[in-house]
Amino acid sequence: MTANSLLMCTPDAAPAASADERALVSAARRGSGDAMAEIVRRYQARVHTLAYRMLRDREAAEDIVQETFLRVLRGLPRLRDDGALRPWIMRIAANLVVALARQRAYDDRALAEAARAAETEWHDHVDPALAADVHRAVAQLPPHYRLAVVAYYLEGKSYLEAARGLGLPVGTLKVRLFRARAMLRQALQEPETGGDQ
Amino acid sequence: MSCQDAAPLLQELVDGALPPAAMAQLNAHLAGCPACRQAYEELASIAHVLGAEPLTPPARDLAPAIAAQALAARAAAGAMPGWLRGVAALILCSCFMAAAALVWALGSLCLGRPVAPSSLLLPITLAGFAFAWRHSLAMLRGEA
Repeated sequence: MTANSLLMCTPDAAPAASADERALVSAARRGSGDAMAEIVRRYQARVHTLAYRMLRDREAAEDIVQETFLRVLRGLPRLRDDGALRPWIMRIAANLVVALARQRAYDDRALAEAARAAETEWHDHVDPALAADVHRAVAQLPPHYRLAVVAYYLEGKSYLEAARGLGLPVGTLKVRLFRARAMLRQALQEPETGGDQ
Repeated sequence: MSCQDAAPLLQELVDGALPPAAMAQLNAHLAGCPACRQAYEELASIAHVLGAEPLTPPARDLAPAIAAQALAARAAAGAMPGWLRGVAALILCSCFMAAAALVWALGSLCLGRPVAPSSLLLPITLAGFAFAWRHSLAMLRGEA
C-alpha cells in the first residue's frame, strides 16, 4: 500500500440530516419566518466561528453571518437536497469569507487579534505562548490553506464533512491540509518577523 | 518506509485516521528516525492547539433580524404581478438567447463551419431557452 493510496482511504462517513431539518427547510421554503429564524439560530455559531477564525475580526464575522443566511434563505427554493443544508450553508459562508480574506492580505490587526484570542479565551491545558504563535502563523496562511485548516477543526476533524462544506474532493482537502501544516511548521521554526502589536 | 513515504502519513497519524497496518509501518519508521519523530511532535502540538479553540458564536442572536430581512425581501419580490414577471423573464430570456446566438455565430465564423451539427441546433436552443427561463424567473423572484 503506497502513501498516496493510504491518504485516500479514511473511515469517515457523513451523518444523515434529520427529518426535523428536512421539515424545517420545507417550512422555510414555504415562507415561515419561524423556520427561517430557526435555521439561522441552528448554524449561526458555526458560520460566525468560521468567519472569525479566518478573519479574526468580530464585526466582519457578523457581516459574513448576515450575508450568508440572507443568501441561504433567498436560495432555499434552489436547494435540491433538503438534507444537504449544513454543507450548503458552510459552502456559501466559505466562498464569502475567502473573497473577503483575499482582499485583506496580511493584516496586523488580525494577527494581534489572533494572539489576543489565543491568550485570553482558550482552555487552560493549551500553552498560551504556543497558541499565540500557532494562531499568528494560521493568520498568515494563504486564504485557501487557512480555510482548509479552519474548516477541518470546525467540523470536528472530519475530512469528509470539511470537504463537503468547502465543496472539495476529500483528496484535495487533505493535500491542502498537508501543505498548510508544512507552512505552519516552517513558520513556527522561523524567528518572529513582526506583526505582534 | 522512507522519510518521503512517511511525510504524508504523519498528518493521518496526528488526525487519528491512519489504518492499523500503515500505523504499524509508520511507528516502526518513527522509532528509528529522529527527524520524522520531531516532525510528528511538531504537527501534534499544532493540532492540539488548533483542536482546543472553542466555538465563537456572535455576540447577539442574529436570527430574528435576518429572518425579518429575508421575509421582507421575499414580500418585495412577490409584489411584482405575475404577468409583469413573465414579460420581464421573456425579455431577459431573449437577451440570453441573443448572446448565445452571437457566440454560436462567432464560433462558426472562426471555425469556418457550424460549431455543432445542425440536427443538434433545435434541442440545444430549447434547452438553452428552458435554462434561461428558469433562471430569469428565479432572479425576478429574488432567489438567485
